[in-house]
Amino acid sequence: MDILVCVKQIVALETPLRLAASGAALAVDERTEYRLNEFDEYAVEAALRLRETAGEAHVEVVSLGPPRVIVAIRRALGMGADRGIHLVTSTADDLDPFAVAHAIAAYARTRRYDLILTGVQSEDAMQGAVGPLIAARLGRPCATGVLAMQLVGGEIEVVRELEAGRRERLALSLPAVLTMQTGPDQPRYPSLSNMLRANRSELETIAIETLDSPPARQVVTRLTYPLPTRECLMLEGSAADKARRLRRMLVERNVW
Amino acid sequence: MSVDKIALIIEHEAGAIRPISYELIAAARAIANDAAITAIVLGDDPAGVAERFATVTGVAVIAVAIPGLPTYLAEVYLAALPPLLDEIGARVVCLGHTPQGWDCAPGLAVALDAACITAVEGVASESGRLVFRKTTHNGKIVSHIAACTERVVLTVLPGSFGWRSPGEVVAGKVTTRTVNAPPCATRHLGPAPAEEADRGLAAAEVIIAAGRGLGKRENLSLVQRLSAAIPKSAVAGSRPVCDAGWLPYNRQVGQTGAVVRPKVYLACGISGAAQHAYGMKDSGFIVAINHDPHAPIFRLADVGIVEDVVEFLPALIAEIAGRKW
Repeated sequence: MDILVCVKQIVALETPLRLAASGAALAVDERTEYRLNEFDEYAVEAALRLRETAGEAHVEVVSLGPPRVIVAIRRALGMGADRGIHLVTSTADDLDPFAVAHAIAAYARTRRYDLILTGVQSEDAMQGAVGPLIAARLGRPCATGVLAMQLVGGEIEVVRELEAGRRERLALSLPAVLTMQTGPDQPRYPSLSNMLRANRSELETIAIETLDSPPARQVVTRLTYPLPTRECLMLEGSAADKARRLRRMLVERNVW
Repeated sequence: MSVDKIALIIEHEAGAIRPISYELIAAARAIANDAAITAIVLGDDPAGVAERFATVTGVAVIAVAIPGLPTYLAEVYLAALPPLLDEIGARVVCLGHTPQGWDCAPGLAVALDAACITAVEGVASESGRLVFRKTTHNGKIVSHIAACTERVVLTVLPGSFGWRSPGEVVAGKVTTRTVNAPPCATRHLGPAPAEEADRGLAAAEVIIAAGRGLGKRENLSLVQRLSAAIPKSAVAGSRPVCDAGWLPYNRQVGQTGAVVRPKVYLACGISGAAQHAYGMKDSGFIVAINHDPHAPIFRLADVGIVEDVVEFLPALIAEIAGRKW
């Protein structure tokens, strides 16, 4: 059982975000913090749990981007993945999802993965396209928004999330592509021993130019800040002052 | 890009048309008001849905009967739709940003050599090309994305394009055809058990919602103590809080949980990403408590308090529980 998990490194969105001079990307400098996309952490966790139950499985992690994304790959190795692959881009800009999927699919074609996992979406671009695009490129079945999976016979059975808490079950023949939702299986922290191993391990490095990139199908023309939907009154003063004012406002509005 | 033909995919279940299907018409009109719109419905027996949609909206509908298709199945849609969309000559294809549309759109874009832009909330024409707007970066940024291709596949975020029934209209033309399902590598095994939605949330006049900002499970007691001090209140949570097992999933507010409209919504340590906002943005009065002054939740709120929620809640509990109402 060979599993490939596709992970993306993103700017830490909890930190203050600024726009680049171009207006079409986030401003980054040497102090910018990056981290692993949270949905991809769940995908790594799901792969590791499948390995624990399937026994013979091998978990590989691939990430596409400039050299900084090695940190994200090593984090996944620290969680317990067996091997890392870095698809190196010559630009720091994000590629469109078609280019990303094309490169990963081109790489995956050279190996025989039974299962390819991604997070359901990246927290930055929030497109949720790369997983199903990889499946389309490889001509394999795909299920998105997967909460749970298990191997049954030669198939992977999944629980897929629908609206308002409803779920459906699907069985996909392998090889298959799944995009993972967050769920009760919380991603483990990298262990010290795994991190030491991860920092020593050699990554396979492939320049994406060698994988024949297609032209971009879409381009981010600019980024803006969202407009407020309500006028938010920010309370000032000490915590006790704010608590007192909030209580008064609720009473004045006769809300209960 | 001049858009003369737009196709949209109707979502339906057990004979009922999902509301997003109508919103797709509003999105199509926003893209090109004079474009010819064709709606497509796929299903085991889609004639009834097609007739109703055409009657209510005046839009032409193609009903594709696929014998034995129990519900949405990606491979069947991806086999049946591209030839039909080529035949129509659709420049833009609109689907709902739903578990169905979002699942289907990327594969459809590959088949059509189209761009694929998901969770679209708005559209504008900028120097002759269509630019689509969507929330990104966990709700902190809005991205404006242009297609470089002749064709575009979109998923439209529910609630973004308001649709009003046109009243009496001439029913759209309905054409039907039958297609056989291709051999599939995916089998539908039926619904999976899910937790019943908690009725307490719908009945509550005040919802106190716990977010990741609480830091650890033990701090949930702060939210529970606040709720105990406020009559007709209930405790809810964001998705991460339910994923972590602090609260059951039937207490989750958001796109994948409950949609609530209490008189007062108190967001405690919730960042307010789009997923969550969808479930609470229509509440009567929204109070946000978050240590991050840039958290998107403040853009949805009537009152904002920039404090660490774990430090602030004891002060609020003292203030509220210490007084008679």
